[in-house]
Amino acid sequence: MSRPIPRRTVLRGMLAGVAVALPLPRLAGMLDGNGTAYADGTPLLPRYLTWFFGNGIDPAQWVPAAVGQGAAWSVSPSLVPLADYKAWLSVLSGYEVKIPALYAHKSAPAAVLTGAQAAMNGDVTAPSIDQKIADLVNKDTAFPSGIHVGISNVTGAGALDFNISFSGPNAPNPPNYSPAALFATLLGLSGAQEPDPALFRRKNILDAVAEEAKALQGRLGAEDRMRLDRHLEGIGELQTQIDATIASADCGVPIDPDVAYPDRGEDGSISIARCQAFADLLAFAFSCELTRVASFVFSCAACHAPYTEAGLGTVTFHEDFGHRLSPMGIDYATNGFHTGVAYAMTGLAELLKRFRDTPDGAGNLLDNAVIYTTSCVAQPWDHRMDDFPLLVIGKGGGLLRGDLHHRAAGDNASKVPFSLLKLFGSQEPSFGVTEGLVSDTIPELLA
Amino acid sequence: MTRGAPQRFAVLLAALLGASACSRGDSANADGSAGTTTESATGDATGGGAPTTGTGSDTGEPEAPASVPGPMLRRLTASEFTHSMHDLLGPVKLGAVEADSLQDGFFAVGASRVALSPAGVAQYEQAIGDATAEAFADPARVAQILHCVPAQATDVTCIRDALATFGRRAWRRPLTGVELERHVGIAGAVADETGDVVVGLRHAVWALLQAPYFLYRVELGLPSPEDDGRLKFTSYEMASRLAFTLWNTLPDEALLDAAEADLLADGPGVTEQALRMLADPRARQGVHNFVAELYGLWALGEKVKDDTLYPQWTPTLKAVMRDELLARVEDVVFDQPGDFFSLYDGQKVFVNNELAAIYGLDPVEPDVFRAAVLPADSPRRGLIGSALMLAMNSLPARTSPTERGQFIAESLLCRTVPPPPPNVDTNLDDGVMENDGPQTMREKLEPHRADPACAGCHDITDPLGLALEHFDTIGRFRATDQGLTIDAGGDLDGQPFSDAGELALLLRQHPVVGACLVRKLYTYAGGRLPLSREADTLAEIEDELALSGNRFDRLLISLVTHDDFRFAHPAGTVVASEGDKP
Repeated sequence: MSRPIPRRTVLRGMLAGVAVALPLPRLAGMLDGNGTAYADGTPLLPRYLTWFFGNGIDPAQWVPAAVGQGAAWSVSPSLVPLADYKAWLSVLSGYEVKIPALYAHKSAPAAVLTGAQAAMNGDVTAPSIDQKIADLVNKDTAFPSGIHVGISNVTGAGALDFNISFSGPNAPNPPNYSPAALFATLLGLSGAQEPDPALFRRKNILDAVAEEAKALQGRLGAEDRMRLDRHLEGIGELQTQIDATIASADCGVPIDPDVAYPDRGEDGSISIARCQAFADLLAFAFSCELTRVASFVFSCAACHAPYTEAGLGTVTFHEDFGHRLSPMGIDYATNGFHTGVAYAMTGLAELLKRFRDTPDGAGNLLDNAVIYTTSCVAQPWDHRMDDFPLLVIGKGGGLLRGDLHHRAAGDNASKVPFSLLKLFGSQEPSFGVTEGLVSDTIPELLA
Repeated sequence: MTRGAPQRFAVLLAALLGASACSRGDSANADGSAGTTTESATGDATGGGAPTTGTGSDTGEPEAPASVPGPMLRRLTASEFTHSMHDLLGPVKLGAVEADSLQDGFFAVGASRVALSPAGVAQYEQAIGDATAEAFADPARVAQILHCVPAQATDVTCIRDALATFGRRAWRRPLTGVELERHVGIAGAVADETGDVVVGLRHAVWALLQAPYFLYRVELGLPSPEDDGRLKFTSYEMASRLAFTLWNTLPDEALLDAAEADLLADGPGVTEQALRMLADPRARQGVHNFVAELYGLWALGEKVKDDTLYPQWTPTLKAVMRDELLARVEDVVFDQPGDFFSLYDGQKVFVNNELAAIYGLDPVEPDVFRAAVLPADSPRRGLIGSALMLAMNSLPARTSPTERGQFIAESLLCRTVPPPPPNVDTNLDDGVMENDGPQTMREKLEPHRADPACAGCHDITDPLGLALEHFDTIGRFRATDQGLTIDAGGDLDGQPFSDAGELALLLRQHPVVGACLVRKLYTYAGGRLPLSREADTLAEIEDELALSGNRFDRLLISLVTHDDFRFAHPAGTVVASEGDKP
């Protein structure tokens, strides 16, 4: 996919006295001679995405046989769908979730996403890694808290609800399951349409709504004030998006999922075509820097959805294959589980393909991305927490080495999100709490 | 939900911190000064991840002094939002809004805790914008929505009347002068710009419906010195509380008129309105929603069955199962009305031919949704024998005595089923799959109950769930399981039963079902678990339920006329022990 250099190269404008960041694709022509910064010296920032799939992996199929870098290792059977992207792939094996699994299907995903134990009600007790990174690199975009999408909207025993992104306790960023809805939002921001006078009216209405919310704040207790603050943040984000729409630059046009994938299935159902639709839209949003942070839930923790398209029937993948309770027997169940994990990785590969094929800076989007891939459990049929599935994909703008299988048996899984947090410039000396607390990163990951 | 040590600590911490809040006064000022106090009282507990609401009082453990949560904002649940939008705008299509969050078993509880995400704000803007555009495209509809429809933008009196009337209904209180003028201003500006005063009004309505006063239930109360420092809900706030509790939607004009006349400030005024409201068809909508939340009917939509084994499991069967459950409840609550707990052992069912086949009843022509009575000797009785409960609490290819037992224990008996211990497989019949030869579910489960690590939960759930083994995963009767004889016998707190029918009879007679129903309703209506200090309130309401012959409509009246429905305690008030209630 190549795209002409945008006609307008102005990075910032003023609209009604408000500074507006204009979405522009980040292409080589706009950058300095080295392709490492904008022409005006603004450094390039990598993009971050959490990619989550429920129900875990079989370490015997997941962990590559050999460790090392480059030709020293080959992808494992479960990772075959990612073979084309091996150059960008870092497999981190042997890491263990140290936070005890007090709450089935809740503790482990909370641990790898937030570094802390889950709350008893299935909520988290700390913000998730994507939101900590958003605080560092995403505040000047149209979606300061990121874009959050999901494939399956089927629950998993109430585990963290459907969510993998949390601004804090009781403050999730639920996934959007509708590619059509996200397309409509991004199209408005793409500059492909004439700004509509109605946009100004919407802004004025939001001003009135914000006035009322602020007036109410004074009457509330602390928790409700925080909730209403978040509502006000949402109003602010929406106004930023409207500003960006009004002043939008030519960033090309996102791919319309209703045209490209008319048979992708209902919102909330699992299909590779739905993964493709969201992959297109996320590549667009990242390319134009409408956001630098996103999350993608293939299936939630302990998801009860069927993997029908993978040939695994209408039964719940969790029960029949994750727990190997299929009436067809344990061999069928085990093989089916392996099929299901590879199917999820095929969905991930669609995202990697588009990132690789999208020019960005001097290279492509995958060169400039960091994709943290994990799940809710290691081996699901005995709820193992060792050898947890942890992948880091992308080169992080040259900061990550890639093409790596690094094994650290028994080491703390929190080191992976902490390494990524540091990569994005965090000054925090540690990450996580109690058993999830770490203050060391994984140097082997780095270039 | 169980009480964990961290949560006990959080309650204690909140109580200690709350002491200062109590002595320094609690009403937060606009400048936020007093609010800092409140923050220290509750913020730490939140930071620790524990809910600041009190913990369950059903475990018999001694209670630490509890810090009372103040009145909370409650975001309209998806159901409340939908009904309210339809009441205001007529039948409009509504786009997706951010999903409810299930906490302590209820969306109503999640609605008082969870913050809306930024994307959720955008979803509201879109959904409300589309709905108002649709409604205002039809002049006849506009005349129904607005009290006055101006012919031109200069008719400010009419614009003001239209927005004041609409605003009072949407916000459940009159708009202040500033608020009204703000929206008149929006209407005027857009009317000038577009040359269409109705378009202007549509934008003002769009603004009113995005305001927190519409999207949240703002029921905060006012300090009432003559009521021991408690916060008393205003008449308008009572109108909102009554309407959302009894109707699952916003108040009608009659209720708001009663509020305007301040008739909802005392018990008799509330009783009069509540009786009127229960006679209104919207009361069925209110009870539907409570039942849907109580029994977790939301999960039906995503319930899958192995279609090679159960081709009968169709969308239409799922829909009629849900209709049947609601019909059973409506029959007992409104149509008879009768003893609510007859639902627990009754044999009156509602079927069409598709569901009749599941129940082993004959089809009729023409095929209509109808009442029917099961044979008296059928083991299928009550809620636990309904196809919906049996199918919802089963797995795709087989039954789950654990899930079924958990439903009985938690939903009907308010028992706490502890979470599984760390690092064990929650699927107890794992490994058994490798054994040769069929086994009954009892045989599969019993060795595992011998494991002390598992018995804690499974001793609560499995004996109850095994009583339902005569019903397969879609709720059909079966005499045998894989050709093996089913032993459905067991005991409930020492009372033996031989099958599901006898268990149903025991459940109806069980001494805790009344208290449990009251506790569930109180949680749903209050948006939080009952506090330990509210035990007296629960007991009083339970007594009234028993005196009424277990009539659910009377239970609703008892609830909404109770002092604790009309008053709240300021946040952070420390209640050292039971019995100190004013």
